[in-house]
Amino acid sequence: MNFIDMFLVKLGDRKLLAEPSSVVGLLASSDETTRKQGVEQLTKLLASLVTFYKETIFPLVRTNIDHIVEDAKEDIKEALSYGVDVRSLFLDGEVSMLLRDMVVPKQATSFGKFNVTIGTGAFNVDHENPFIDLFGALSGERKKLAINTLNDLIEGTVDIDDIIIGENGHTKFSDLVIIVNSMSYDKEPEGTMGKVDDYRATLAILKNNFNYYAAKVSLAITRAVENNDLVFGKGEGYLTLYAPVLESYYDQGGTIEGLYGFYLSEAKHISLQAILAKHDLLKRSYEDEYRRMMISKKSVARDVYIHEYTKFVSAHVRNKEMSGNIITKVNTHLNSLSDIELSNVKDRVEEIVVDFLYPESGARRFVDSIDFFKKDIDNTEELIGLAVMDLAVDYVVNGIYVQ
Amino acid sequence: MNKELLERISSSLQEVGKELNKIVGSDVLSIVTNDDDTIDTILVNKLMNKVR
Repeated sequence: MNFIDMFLVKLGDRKLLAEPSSVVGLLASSDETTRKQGVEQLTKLLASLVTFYKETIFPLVRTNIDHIVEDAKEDIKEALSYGVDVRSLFLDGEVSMLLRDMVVPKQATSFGKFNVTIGTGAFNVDHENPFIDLFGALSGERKKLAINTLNDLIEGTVDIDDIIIGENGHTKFSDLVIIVNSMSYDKEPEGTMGKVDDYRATLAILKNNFNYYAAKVSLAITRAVENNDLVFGKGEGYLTLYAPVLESYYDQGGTIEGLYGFYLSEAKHISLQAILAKHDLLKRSYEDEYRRMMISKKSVARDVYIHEYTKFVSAHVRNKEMSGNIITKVNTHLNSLSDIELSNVKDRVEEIVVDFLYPESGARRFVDSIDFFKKDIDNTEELIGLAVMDLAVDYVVNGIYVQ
Repeated sequence: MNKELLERISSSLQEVGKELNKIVGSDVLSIVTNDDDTIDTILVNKLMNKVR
């Protein structure tokens, strides 16, 4: 079966949109000149996406990996100190690489291939399963339920057995798998790349509190083991946890990646020219756009920020006295801000934390382990590049067909 | 569904990849893949996977 035949079979009776004015319409035109126009437009879109990722997203990934490396190493040491059998525990995504490369490489790799994965995962695996689909829905009561479920788990008030996924392909894995976000590319069959929601969720996690929630999940597992709520290495348990960082992102406008996610989500509904114009605007003054969006969100609330950054500090500072001092300082700082200032507060709060912890390092954030982690950073960039390509294909496919 | 139409789309997508190869060349290839695939191949393969 060739490509076109496959196209026909798989798409069944979906209607062809291919409006003459759309980029797909241009690509599909019988007129060679028109087709060239479509090629030029889509090429321009792809090139701009790649540039954006290289200039904006990659540096953020690099910075965040610093955090992940340092925090996860400590978390894993702590987990080991509780006697957790690390061979049966790996966190998909970045933390799994730590297990693979730094802590128990031989044992971890025995579970197969796992990488930094961008933009794929459980969101699109099993929409019949309520839990796995919770964050896939990303709205309303279902999102709240998912967030509450994870919070309850972290607080130890939920029996972990209650939320083990039972009705999807992942249960074939004999060891516990924890997905802190939607990263499970290596275990998905080819062709199940996610929707735009996956990308923006993943990117938001990369920027925000991935390491925090990884740490919390690690401790939740530790607690569960202590309480005999969870037995490692037996059965077909597959526990999927989604980082509730989405809560702050979706409710409050999120980060620059979040903004980019909105931008991408609108791609289906506006013309290619508008997308490119919006993209150019974003590149030129994304900070202004970000502030505008943040201010426009009704749900932006001072106490939400204070709560978020209290959690941030708690996650990064293990000494309780020091943590308390920082939280006090941060809260004082937050309460002194105007609403507009508050909308761009994250970097300021992080600066406070860094200044407090590493006064000698100035603006440098935590320990520079880039060289140490270089190989995996490269891998991350590669996968982000692939995500760019997937977005492009998403655009083309979604531009062509509707159910 | 018009098979000829889809063939044109596929062909156009390959052209997009070729043009992108020219514009960003090895710089993007180093990001996208460690293999020898070119972007036009990647795009078409991903499109196939998308509808598989």
